[in-house]
Amino acid sequence: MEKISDLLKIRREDLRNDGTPRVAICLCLDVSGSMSVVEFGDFKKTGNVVVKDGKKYIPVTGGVTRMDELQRGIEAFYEEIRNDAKAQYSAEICVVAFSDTAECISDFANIYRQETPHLKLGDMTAMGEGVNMALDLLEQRKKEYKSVGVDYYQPWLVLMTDGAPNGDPNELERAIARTTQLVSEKKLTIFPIGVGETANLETLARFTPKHHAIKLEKLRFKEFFEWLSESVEKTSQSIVGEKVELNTKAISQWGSKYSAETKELEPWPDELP
Amino acid sequence: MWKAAQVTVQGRGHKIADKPCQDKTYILDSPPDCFVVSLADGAGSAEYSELGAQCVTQKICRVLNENFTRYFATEESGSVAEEILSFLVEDLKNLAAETDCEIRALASTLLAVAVKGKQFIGVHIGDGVIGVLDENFLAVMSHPDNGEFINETIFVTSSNAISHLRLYKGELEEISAFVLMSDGTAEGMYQRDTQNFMPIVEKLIRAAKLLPPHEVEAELKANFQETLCKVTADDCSLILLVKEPYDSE
Repeated sequence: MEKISDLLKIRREDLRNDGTPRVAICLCLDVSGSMSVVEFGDFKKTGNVVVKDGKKYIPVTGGVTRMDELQRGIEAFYEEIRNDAKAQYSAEICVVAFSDTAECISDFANIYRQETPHLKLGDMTAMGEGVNMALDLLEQRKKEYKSVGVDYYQPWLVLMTDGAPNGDPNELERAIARTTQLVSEKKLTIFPIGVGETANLETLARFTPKHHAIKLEKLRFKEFFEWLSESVEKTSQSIVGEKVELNTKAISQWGSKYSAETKELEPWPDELP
Repeated sequence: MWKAAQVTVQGRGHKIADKPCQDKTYILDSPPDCFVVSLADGAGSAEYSELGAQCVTQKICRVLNENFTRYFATEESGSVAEEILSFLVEDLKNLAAETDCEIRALASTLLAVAVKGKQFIGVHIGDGVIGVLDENFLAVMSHPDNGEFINETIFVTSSNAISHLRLYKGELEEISAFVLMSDGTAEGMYQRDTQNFMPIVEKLIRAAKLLPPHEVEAELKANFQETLCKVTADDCSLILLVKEPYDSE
């Protein structure tokens, strides 16, 4: 017969078991042809000259490309999340790659159900299409969380490009309007990041209400993804109801601030874009 | 006759950060026939929220005890809500002056239930859950008032607190228990998708009816530390306000 005091025993199975609040992160990445530009390492010129979209390129063999470094950064990011006791349950990552079109190459799931995605080069820079797909996927994921009663934090969108958008201009304007509205309403955190000297920071800055973008210093993808995984870990360890303060000071270790107002690059201030 | 048992446990997150428990509870037994309980969860981002939580839990119990009959009789619930909030904010302002901080550094949620004679009043600002056992059926009286994201809610000090202050009143009739829980406890004991309590809550109420409060509190504290604190990093608190069994009044 059950004792009265047994009624007060709380077993693990008496409690809700989906308690870990989720952080949805979408990496929206430029995989256009220019990401194959060799930045450093041992390389040899082939002797040819290629002109593409009015830009002159000198083909080489060997060396380390922007894409190589981005791929390494993503691999390190996935590894960090897998190794963090809390973030591995909390972080859910999705990757949208955009070039000629936008493609979701890794949909949201717990990190243990995902393989680290492998990026493939395309040609063009359909940025608007990529961002719209990323926003749709984040919205869909939030609906799924709601339908099963899973708590969640404000989602994050990481937008990385080394060029200027050349997809459908209407899609680009729609993506900019949607993103700035969500950021203004505090429903989204965005990191618009320009890679290399050819990145159009002016356009990237339009994705934030403050018209700020981040210029990635040299090819510090690894440092950026380390910072991102630390931020995810910090968020996943935060207590319910607590405002999560990201270490914005540390952004200056891998990026600098571009302001559309001054058109200048400057050290990163203590705020998010 | 009503009686209450409460439990408050510091969460893992605050233990690691060496921060005090920011959940506070208060119980006011005012014979012959008024019994008031309250619970507040201090905002994690507010520097002295544990002091704010302590302040509002004590104040709401005194305010409801002193004004129960008038509040219950008032048809205009808006004026009652305004008066309650002004009493709370007045004390918080005084505390802010003593502590030499901004009032927002004292931010907390607030949940309270008062029973007097054959009637009850409930007050709720922010997240956490209030439940009621009516004719042996446990239902949620007041759901968490969260924003879209898990780290958003309304506090007593929020500029829009008045539009989020929820007031409940009614005849007790077959009501024999109330349960108040902070969001930390709700993380394990309240299902967001179905908006219902986990079955364990009803068992806790049954035990609280049958056992003396000090026994319930000791057992709950041990169980919270052993089990609930493993599924959430947040502070956890709970109040079980129950009518003595076989009490016809």
